[in-house]
Amino acid sequence: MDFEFSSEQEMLRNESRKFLEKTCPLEKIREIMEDKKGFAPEMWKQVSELGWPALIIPEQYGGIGMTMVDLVVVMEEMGRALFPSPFLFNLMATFALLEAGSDEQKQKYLPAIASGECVATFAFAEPGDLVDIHGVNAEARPDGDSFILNGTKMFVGYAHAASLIIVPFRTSKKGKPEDGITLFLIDPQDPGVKTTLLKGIDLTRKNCEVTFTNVKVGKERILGGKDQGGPVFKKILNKGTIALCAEMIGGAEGVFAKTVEYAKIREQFGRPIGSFQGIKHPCAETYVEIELAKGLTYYAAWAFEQDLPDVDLSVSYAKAAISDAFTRAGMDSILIHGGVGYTWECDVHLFLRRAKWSEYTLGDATYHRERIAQLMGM
Amino acid sequence: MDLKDSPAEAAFRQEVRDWIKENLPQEWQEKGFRKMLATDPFGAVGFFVEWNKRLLQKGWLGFGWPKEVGGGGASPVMQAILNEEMTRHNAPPLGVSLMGLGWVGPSIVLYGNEEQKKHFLPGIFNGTDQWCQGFSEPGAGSDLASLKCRAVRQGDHYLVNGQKIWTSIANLANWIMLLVRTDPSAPKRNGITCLMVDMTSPGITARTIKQMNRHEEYSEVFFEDVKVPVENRLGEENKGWQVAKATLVFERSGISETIELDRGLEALKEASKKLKKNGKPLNEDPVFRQKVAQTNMELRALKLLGLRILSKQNRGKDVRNDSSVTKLGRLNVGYKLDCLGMDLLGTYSQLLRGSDSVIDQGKWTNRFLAWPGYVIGGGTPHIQKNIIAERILGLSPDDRDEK
Ligand SMILES: Cc1cc2nc3c(=O)[nH]c(=O)nc-3n(C[C@H](O)[C@H](O)[C@H](O)COP(=O)(O)OP(=O)(O)OC[C@H]3O[C@@H](n4cnc5c(N)ncnc54)[C@H](O)[C@@H]3O)c2cc1C
Repeated sequence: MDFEFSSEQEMLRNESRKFLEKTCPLEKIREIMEDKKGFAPEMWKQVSELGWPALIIPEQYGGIGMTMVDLVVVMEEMGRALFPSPFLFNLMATFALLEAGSDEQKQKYLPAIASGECVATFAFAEPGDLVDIHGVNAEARPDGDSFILNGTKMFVGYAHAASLIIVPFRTSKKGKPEDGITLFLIDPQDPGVKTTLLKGIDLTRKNCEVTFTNVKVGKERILGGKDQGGPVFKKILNKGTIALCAEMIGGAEGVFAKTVEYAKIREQFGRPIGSFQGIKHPCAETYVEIELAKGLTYYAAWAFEQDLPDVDLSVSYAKAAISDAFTRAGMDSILIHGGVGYTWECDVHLFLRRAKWSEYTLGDATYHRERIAQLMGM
Repeated sequence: MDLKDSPAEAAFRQEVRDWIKENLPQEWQEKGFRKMLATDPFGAVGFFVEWNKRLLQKGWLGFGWPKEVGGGGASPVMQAILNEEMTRHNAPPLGVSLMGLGWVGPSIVLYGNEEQKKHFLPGIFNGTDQWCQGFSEPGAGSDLASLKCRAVRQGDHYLVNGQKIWTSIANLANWIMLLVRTDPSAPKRNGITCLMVDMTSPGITARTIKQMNRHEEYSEVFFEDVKVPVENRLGEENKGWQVAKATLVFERSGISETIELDRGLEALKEASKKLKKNGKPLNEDPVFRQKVAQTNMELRALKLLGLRILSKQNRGKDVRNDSSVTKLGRLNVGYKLDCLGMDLLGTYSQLLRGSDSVIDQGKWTNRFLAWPGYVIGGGTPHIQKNIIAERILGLSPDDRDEK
């Protein structure tokens, strides 16, 4: 039994951290924030050279073939640095291709994703705030050998910058909710696809609304077979959630490090504010909460790697834990910074914004606790 | 990262399981120590002594201690496996001399001289010696280093005068590990000495104190001109603080405790399906479900944190401060569990064992009433938070008098 990261993984962590500290400091992030793209293409190129989009893609498709646990390491560092990029969504699209793509589809897209040339995204939400399979109501109607797509997808990360969107549509209303779902490969340039950039709380990440009005696509655009997309969709949500949890842990640690640092240098009443228990104790509590969430996230990643039966439960444990912990770390940080913490220039609000976005994305703590209750047989 | 047992670990786990099956009577495996003790105290204690013998023969007492002193030399992970399997299969505690094995023994191993090891360790292994820990005083609890119980050296012995309080199992123990002040003029941490004192020495009076739950597990202990031979000093004179803080590399992951808590949660879940509130089974209540799920999640997190600490320790890294992290986590989730147990019973949670209409023999209420003892004993949550903030995060100490 060994629950520590390997020395290779520690190296990967150090290199990722060093790279982001150098290339993507908060001043740079503030520039990117103001830009419509929401990420820096030259930086995307650099991280592609480092192999990040290729991390979990097998070598035969131009990737590196690393594991979920390796991925967690890199995601944590991206979160710590507040790295603004389509990475998470690109990753979920990659999962989908790996899971359900034909060899031809994989050959077509994966090497391009691995090299950073193709930015892909995944549409997992719809209006109405339904999480999971119940949130797939946009319809794909067969029309001869083709399909006519109609509906709206919400909060599609970086759809405005992507050249591939993987979108679940309902192709049948028979059977269980997961039975009639089909995944489609969509080019944002397809006639009838409209992408609108949303203005969101997380300034370091861009989301879009994507509408489909009588979009006609051929059946070669189906990813993984008609009506077969439900289980794939669920799996991708799980995997994406783990990746998001890891990013959130990094974010929570990132903002918490700023809190602790400030508590050491800021003096009032002739001594560092960190010496007051009103500051010290919430810091200790946040530390414990983050440590607890880490184990849950690492375990979930490992459970996926090992294909263990408790994956669903593990994912929900992790998301429920870090959703609360990250927001708390962010809000406490602002309070502990005092007046300066409330300023636009102080970076901690960027983390709090990220925390809130992350909290509600892919199921908030309440959603995941209910899922835990179901899975534990309540 | 690989959370599976290695082949050697898996083999050992199986060995422990087989051994328990062979050595622990069926009834014990089903009922566990506490129930056996409640139904047949004499029989249970008799078996416990026998159990100690078998464990000793098997080499599983002091399993993590070095081989030279009669221990098992086992790694933290192996110790954790032994503890975990024993708990899982309802075995009695790992050894009769619990404080001796868990806490005093390791200090003797670390700081004792050859004579002392020869003299004190066998009683701990055999279970013939019960130890208690005389640290806290009326004026020195969280601020332990301000303790006043005085020892003055007179030739070949120390003369001890003063008082200890909250001393668990002082009424059962024949030895006490005592912290005394030997140099009142030195800064407070530099004037403390550790003595091993025979509880039958003339001048010692111990009186049990009744706890809020009517149990009497701790005592106050008075010392009046008690003579303690100098050879019973553990470590050097005025170096007792280091001895008190010493921890050997024994397992501190707390994984066995999470197994106990898991059982509580499982019982709670099952009970919630049967008990109705407002005409509906409680397990259908969305708020109750949220709370149970949250507790379940925290419990799982605690177990995984334990595994992370264990792995760290297994690689020889320093985990001394991590026990404050696990303790805080355990306190949070344990309290939530007990409160949920009370929630479950609603107004019936007021009924105590022995009352008409009581549910589950009032076990949730008993747990609830015992809870503050766990919280306060061994350092309060406030103190644990200070430790985390100062030693792990590096925040500066508050205005506390550090002299
Ligand atoms: C069931 C039980 C068993 C015990 N067994 C033993 C035993 O076997 N041997 C032994 O020696 N002792 C034992 N103790 C004593 C225990 O270690 C002390 O009670 C504990 O350390 C607290 O000390 P105190 O009771 O003097 O409380 P105090 O130290 O007076 O604390 C009172 C309150 O003030 C808070 N406080 C104190 N200092 C600070 C600070 N710096 N910052 C913030 N808050 C602070 C505390 O957290 C607490 O809430 C036991 C206690 C219990 C309840």
